[in-house]
Amino acid sequence: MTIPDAKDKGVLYLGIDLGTSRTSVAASNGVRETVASYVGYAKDPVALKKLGKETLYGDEAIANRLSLKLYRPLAHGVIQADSDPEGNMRAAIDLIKEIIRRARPKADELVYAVIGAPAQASIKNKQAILDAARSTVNSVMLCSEPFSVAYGLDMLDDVLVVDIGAGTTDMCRMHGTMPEDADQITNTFAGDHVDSKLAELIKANCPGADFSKEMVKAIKEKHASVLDEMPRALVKLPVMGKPTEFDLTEQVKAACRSIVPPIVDGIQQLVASFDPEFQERLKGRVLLAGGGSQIKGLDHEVERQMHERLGSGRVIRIEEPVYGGANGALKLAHDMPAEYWEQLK
Amino acid sequence: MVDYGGVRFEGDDGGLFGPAEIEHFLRTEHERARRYKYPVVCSVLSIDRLDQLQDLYGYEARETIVKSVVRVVRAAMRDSDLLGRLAGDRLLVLWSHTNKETGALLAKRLLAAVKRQSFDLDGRMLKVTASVGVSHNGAEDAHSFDTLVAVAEEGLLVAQKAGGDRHVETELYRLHESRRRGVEAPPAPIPAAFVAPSGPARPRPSLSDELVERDLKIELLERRVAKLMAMLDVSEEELRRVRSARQVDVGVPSIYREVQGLSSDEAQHERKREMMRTIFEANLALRSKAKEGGAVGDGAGT
Repeated sequence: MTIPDAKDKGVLYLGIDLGTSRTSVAASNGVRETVASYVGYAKDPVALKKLGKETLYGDEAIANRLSLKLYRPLAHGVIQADSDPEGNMRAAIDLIKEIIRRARPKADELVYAVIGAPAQASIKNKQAILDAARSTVNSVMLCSEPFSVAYGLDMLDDVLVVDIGAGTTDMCRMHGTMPEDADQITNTFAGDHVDSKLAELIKANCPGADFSKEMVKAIKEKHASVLDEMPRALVKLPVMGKPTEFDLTEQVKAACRSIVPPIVDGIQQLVASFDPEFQERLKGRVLLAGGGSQIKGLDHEVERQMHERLGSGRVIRIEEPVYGGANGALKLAHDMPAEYWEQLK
Repeated sequence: MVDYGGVRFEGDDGGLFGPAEIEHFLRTEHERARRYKYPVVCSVLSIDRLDQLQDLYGYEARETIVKSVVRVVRAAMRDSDLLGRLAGDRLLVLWSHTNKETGALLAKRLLAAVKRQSFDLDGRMLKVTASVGVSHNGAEDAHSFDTLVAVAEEGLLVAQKAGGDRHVETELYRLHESRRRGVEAPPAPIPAAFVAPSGPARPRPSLSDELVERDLKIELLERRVAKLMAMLDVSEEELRRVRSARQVDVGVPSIYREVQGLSSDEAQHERKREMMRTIFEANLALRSKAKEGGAVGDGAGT
């Protein structure tokens, strides 16, 4: 390690994984926090009186959503611009401020942050994320999410990272240099896709069952699995107001399995376009990261389908799916030379 | 409380009279006091910095504080006294058969009782103070209940402006009575030291008069300075109290305060340094594009 100039003292480095479903931060002061990517504003004075504060975040916002104007400001990993762009931008800024506040910076510290963005986000989306962050931190950089995962694990050679988020699945091959556009693929077969697929299947198979998006998400998070012999997913859903038990084992399995073929498609595409001499090595080093990688048996299922379609494959699930991106981004922030941070202030 | 023949005048405000009800009773009581010549005192009480406390702790905390202060006031009242809630959470009390001196004593007791209260808000102990404006019907110009309320409210304003936690009676009955009647108030008596004969042949004031005038001005200024200093002390104390109540999070120091950057001893040092440079340049290009107005085209590394 090098001893910095006096100007470097009092810097807090942050790695932020700004996700559609969860936003996580890992900070150089040892703080690690994660919050569901929801921001809610009190609808009226009655709601304000009940809640005692104007803005709520994460699970607290979800729990009080009936009293709030609720925003999920990120869609497919970037700030939503389709409906109410101003409201979503404000919510994104507030979300970034909140996650930074939770990192507990000291008042006299400079805050330097690296934010992971989807590998193939457009320039406009990246600029929107930067605009949201600049109001809160002293200097900020973006980097590709799967790259930050690989950097955090120090696996920079012949590794294929599959980062399964809520909005997108980002795949990126590392070959010792900075990945280029051709090294990265993003698709939308991720957590939200599983939710909507599961909702479709419940609607088709559970006549009369009443449910919301949040309920479907909760069912997925509790029972998600692609294993043939998975534990039964017994769920109570209201039918005409009466809680009724349904066995959703097959529906959950089918919904979770629906993202496997597109992931293997992406892996195949990245392997096939790689240097043939190193393709076998790349297939043997596939890293599963992100919240979606917590689906039970997903690593084995991807591996099985790789064997079927590519002849071989070895998939490893990273140890900390929720903080993998944030940890890597923090390592990048820390390793970045001080002069670069100064220039981007 | 007095039993008004089963008529319920209580609103949803914990049994307090609303502004219209308390006005009705005040008028009646004032008229009765005038007819039977007994003294009444009118007090308007407000909790200091209540709006700021609401900003810090929320609306429910405000209600908790107000309700607790209402209990304190009620404990000090007799059955024949009347209590009502005015706009802005001010409390109006009409003390029957109470003279000016007892009114001042009651106000002091109320202030002390409010100060003894403590509130547990979000795990933080909080104490509040109040201000009270007082008026009584024994004054020469206290002819109507409107004047009583106006003088009490004026006293409250002065008490709040002086930093709170005090009671004030302004004695401006004549002014408010004149305003009520829509006539100009007679000018206040001018101190003898300021009275000088008018007309062109006005003689130059003597040296002793000038000295008296200057002494009066100095005394006035000194009183103003003392008042401002007292207000400053109160404000600083309040700031200290609010800061400690908020328990401001001082944050966690970064473990990288002393060391940072990529070590030259690290494996793949050169390669990582090159990656850092690529990421930095991509971000720099992104920022330039933003400044230029957003030409689209993706940069490697981000």
